[in-house]
Amino acid sequence: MTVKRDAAATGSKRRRSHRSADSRTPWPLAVLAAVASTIFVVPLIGLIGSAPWRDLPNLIADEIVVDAIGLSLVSSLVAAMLSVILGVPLAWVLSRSRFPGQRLLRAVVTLPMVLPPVVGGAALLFALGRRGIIGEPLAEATGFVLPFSLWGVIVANTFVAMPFLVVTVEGAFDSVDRRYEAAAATLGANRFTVFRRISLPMIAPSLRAGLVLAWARALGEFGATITFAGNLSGRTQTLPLAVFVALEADRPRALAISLLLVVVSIVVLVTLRDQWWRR
Amino acid sequence: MIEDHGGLMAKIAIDRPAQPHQDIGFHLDLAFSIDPGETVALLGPNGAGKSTTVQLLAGLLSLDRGQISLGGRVLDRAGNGADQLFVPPENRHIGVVFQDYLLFDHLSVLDNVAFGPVSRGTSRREAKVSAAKLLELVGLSALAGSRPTALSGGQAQRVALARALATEPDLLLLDEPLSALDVTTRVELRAMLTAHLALFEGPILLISHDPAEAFGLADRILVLEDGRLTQAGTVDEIRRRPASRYAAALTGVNTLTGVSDRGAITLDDSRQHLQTFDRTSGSVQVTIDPRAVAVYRRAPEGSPRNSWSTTIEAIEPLGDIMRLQLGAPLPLLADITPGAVSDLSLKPGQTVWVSIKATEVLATKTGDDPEKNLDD
Amino acid sequence: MPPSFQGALVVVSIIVISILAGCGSDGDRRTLRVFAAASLTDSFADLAEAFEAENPGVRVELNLAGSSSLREQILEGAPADVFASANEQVMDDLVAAAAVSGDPAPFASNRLALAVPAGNPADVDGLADLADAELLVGLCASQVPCGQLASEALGMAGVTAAPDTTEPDVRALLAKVEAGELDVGLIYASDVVASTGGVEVIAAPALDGHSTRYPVAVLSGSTSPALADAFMIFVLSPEGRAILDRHGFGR
Repeated sequence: MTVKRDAAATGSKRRRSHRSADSRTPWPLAVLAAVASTIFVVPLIGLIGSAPWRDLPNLIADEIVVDAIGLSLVSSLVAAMLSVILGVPLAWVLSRSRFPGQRLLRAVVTLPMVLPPVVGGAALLFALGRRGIIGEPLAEATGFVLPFSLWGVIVANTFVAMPFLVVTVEGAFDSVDRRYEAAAATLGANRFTVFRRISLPMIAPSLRAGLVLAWARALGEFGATITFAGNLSGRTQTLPLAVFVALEADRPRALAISLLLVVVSIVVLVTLRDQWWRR
Repeated sequence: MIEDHGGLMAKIAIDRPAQPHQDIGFHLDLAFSIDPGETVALLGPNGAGKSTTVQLLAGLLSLDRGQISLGGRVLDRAGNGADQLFVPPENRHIGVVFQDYLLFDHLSVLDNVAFGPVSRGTSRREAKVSAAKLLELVGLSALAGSRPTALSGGQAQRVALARALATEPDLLLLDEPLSALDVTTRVELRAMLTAHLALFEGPILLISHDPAEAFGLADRILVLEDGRLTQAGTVDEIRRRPASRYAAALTGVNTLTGVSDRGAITLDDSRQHLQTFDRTSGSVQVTIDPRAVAVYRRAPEGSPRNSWSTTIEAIEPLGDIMRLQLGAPLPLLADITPGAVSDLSLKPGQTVWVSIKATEVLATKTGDDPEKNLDD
Repeated sequence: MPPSFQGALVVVSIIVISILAGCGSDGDRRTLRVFAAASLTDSFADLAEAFEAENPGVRVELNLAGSSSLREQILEGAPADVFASANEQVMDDLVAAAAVSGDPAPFASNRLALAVPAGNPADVDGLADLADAELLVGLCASQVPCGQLASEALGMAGVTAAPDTTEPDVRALLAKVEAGELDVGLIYASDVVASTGGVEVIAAPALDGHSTRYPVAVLSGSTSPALADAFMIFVLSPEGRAILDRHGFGR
């Protein structure tokens, strides 16, 4: 828990915004950092500059866009929740258990971070689609078909988002001072109690960071969703899909939705980053 | 749980063969028992195997050979097949006060103390009530709602003790309980520990590398060197016949008793006066490290308060240092370098001046009213 | 910065610079840049190959994407010699923007086809089945040409489709029908030919008479207009026609 305390200390120092001599930036770093910032800032300016500000309310109030906003919020939040409920135990197992094939499993879990999302969507289709390895028996037994449904969107979102949570949380479990867990065990806590009352609170800052990352990834998810869940306004068309489709025919609307995504993301990232990230 | 003997019987062994790319292997092999109500100190230099012993007893490591039983209940038995047994830490009922306390920073002080009982199935409300009582006992009621990060070292140590006691353990393990504290706090805390350990009815094992800590708290000493017990006995026994150089060096600590009046101590046997920085009053045990006893040919200038003239009764070499036995008015051991002996041309029978800084005179309360010491 | 890192930085910079410099300097070989609609992927690959065979020393570079994104690229100044669009409106936009040199010429047409997975597991027998809520139905998104064509044809046939997905990419729609994830989809006839036998076509007379025209044009920004003209003529030639026929395109 020393780590946490130190981090808190730096955090509060930062907030007090003392500028010591050490905070002067060496010029090569300043130049490269400026270039890096440009890479992010310029496209944003491009987006803001070409946005149809006057028609913005009408474009966004459109039923298709409102539906997409609702779907995006529901699917990304549910995916983020699923990522926590399933991803935290997975991260724990990857961090603490030792079993054959563990390294391979770790690689497979992080694969969606590297894989083009479209490939991920295709893989989901082969597994969970109506003709998929799991999907076919499922459809025959229950009549439930995952693709082209909201659940399909959620599955696709979870698939691409959960690795971010798992990687963050696994790293946190790795760096937890295990002696605190040992201390809890000597006090009579069984292993699940130790996990619940000691390990989990100790990694809380990383868990929050992982949750935000996973949610952000789910909100922006496009490729796996359109491949696995299709694109139908009001059912599976999330904001990124709406942007993509609108770009073909209705550029002002595409810009309006993009702007909406940018605003929502920035608000969330700015508020959460300062409150949660650094702690 | 406490049946026939009620104490701890441990015969423990660990074999870590030397690994390629690693240093030499490690072997730990020792046997001991502790009676209920008895405090035993396991004393040894760093790397002797003290921490491993703690982990084996607490169930954080398992034995390679041997058996641990507590109150007639087998906790760990090495072997193959049916007679093999290992009780995990959460079912051992052993309270551990860790070296750096390991308080849970995300829980309040009260919840830290209540953690054990809650984990064992006591209702939260009941656990908090008993935790509050324990905090009162160690004098920290006012800090019940604080976070451990807000505590001083001494306060954290007391919370750690309260947390371990809250589970009503069958054995109390104290791993270097005072080593993380500064000298002043250490002296205060040692008195408090003495008081609380006296109230605990089970066996107590104190792990330490600090002879003052061990001698001040324990009834019996086990000396652990390089994974093996080199000596076991009371402080007196070890002092009279140290079995190793390490034991001899350890027991060189000057131990005296007296009565303190706000730091002015009158020693029982010699009526000699000593000044200590600790301002408590009452019966005290005084320890002085022989290295802290300075020896001069003439009266030192600036007159330290603890200074007097005496005669050298004997000089004996003890490894790299020379140990002087000093006579009346206060028999003390002093360790100085061989160089100093020749520079000062010291010989037995010679008259010298002795001086001891007040900060090197460590007084531990031994009186009947230990609670009085707890109010910070 | 440790010296080894600086060294690596220099090496990387040299590699990057030489790659960038390599682009565009192609010696005495002539390169023709052809922007073609995604549905022309296979047919234009064959056309390019045949054209290269007839014109030694010429290399045809294909840039394949949705017609509207190609339009955006051309308007933003991407270097291109020839543009083959799947949509006349898109070509008209370029003409209006004076990005086209000469008149665009229609070179092919494409019809819609009612496609089902091999074996027709859902027993689809006509256009009316697109309105069956029980079936998994896929259409092109209304924003892309095949979707516009579909809504036109369905409107005329009086069918109100109940789609489960409206794909912005006709090839993705084809893939989902092929995989059996959709029971039926309305795709281009040329895409059925491109499919490797995973789909069957169900007769739907109502779709006849609805087709989209593919215009081709030389772009005013072309750096080798003569070669671009030659390619356009080749596309319109009987030889080019034969290749397009083979890929399921109408006249």
